[in-house]
Amino acid sequence: MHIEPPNTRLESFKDFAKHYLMIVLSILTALGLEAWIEHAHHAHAAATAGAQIEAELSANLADIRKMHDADARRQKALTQLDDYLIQAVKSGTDAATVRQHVAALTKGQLYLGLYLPEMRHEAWDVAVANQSASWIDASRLRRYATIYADQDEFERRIVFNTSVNLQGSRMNDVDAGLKAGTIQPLEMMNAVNSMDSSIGDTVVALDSLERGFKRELPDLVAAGPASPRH
Amino acid sequence: MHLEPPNTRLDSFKDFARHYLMIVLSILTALGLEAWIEHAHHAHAAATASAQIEAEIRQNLADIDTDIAHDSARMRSLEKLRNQLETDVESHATITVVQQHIRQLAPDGIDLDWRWPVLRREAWDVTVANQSASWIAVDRLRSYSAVYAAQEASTRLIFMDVPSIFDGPQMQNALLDARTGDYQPRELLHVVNQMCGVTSEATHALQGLAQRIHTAVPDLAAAPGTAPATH
Repeated sequence: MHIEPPNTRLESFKDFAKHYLMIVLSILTALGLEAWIEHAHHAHAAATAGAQIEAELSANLADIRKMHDADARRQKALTQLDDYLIQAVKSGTDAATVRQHVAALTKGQLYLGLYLPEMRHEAWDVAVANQSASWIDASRLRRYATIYADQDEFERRIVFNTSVNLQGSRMNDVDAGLKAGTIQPLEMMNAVNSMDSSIGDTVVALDSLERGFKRELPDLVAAGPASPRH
Repeated sequence: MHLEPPNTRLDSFKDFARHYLMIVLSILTALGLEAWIEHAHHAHAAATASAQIEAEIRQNLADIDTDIAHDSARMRSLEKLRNQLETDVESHATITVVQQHIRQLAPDGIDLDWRWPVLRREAWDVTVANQSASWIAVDRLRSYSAVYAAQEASTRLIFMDVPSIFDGPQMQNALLDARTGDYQPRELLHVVNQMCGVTSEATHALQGLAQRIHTAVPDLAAAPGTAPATH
């Protein structure tokens, strides 16, 4: 048997072209294999980041719902109290009767404060920091970004609304004055009205935030929220 | 069996140069092809990101225009009421007369109802997060960045500015007093004047913001036929 191995000498342009093509294809194959392995890593990183973001958003949603319900319950009680106080001030009911009635309505606990959810965002920050956000599906990433932007906007507007509209430290004075029996109906009416209005704004804002979750991530909302953090 | 081994020796400088050239050219070709494919992906990512950012800026401009129209209408209406209250306070008009004027000028009751649009920025956030910002032309990227910085600065400034010129609790108390029918026209004048201030600040800040956006991206106009801004 006579085996004639290829002549590896580059004696013609054809030889040169053959070798050239073979090396190009070899390198492209190697680069393709490397890209495929990279892609598998990226897909894994994106899946991990997506799962962490969704777990975070799910916990945020649970907190939003819990605080929304608590604020709505408080708003109902405050609106009832506000209506009574407006009537009492209009009709000039004496302060002691008003205080007694308010104490009965509130069972001695007039809490004037907002229930606000804790909306975390570190899963998003991590996904951006370690670049795994780059490998998340573009439309999914856009939906996450929208929810996180909504959360920021909610916090910014609540901080603004409370700084402008809420009577701050006077809320504590009302509670103390009610317990000490010194508060006047007009003072109480103003404080309760202010709180009622701020809670009303907060309930509307929390509603809007939850609608944003439903619009952007219906599958997450349908899956049922995680346990609230509080 | 007769086996003739290949001649792999580089017998001359010419052989060496040929092999060397072939390998360099092969590697450059492979890398060039890979770079070309990458470039196509990057160009596509940049085009998608730019389109999304521009759609978002157009929507924001439309929302800004809607709120400028709303806030300036509120400003004019409140200014009329303020001017009337000024005249009434100067002429020591009775509460009955003041009430009559308020009913004429604010038939649905006195209401601040100023608006500031939710200026969306998620297209920008996505572009930064998935690194497609790296593939957008640097001048264009700078223009987009200027738009989002202007949005952020205007919102921060108005939210800082309003509490310094407007006393929310004072307004709530005065409007509540007006409902119970026990109020001083001078106090109401102060409150309505503050309300005028808020609508005026908001209108001018939004006009300034729209101007800054138009300067940064003169080729972008507000999205047509958009729904009113959400708040």
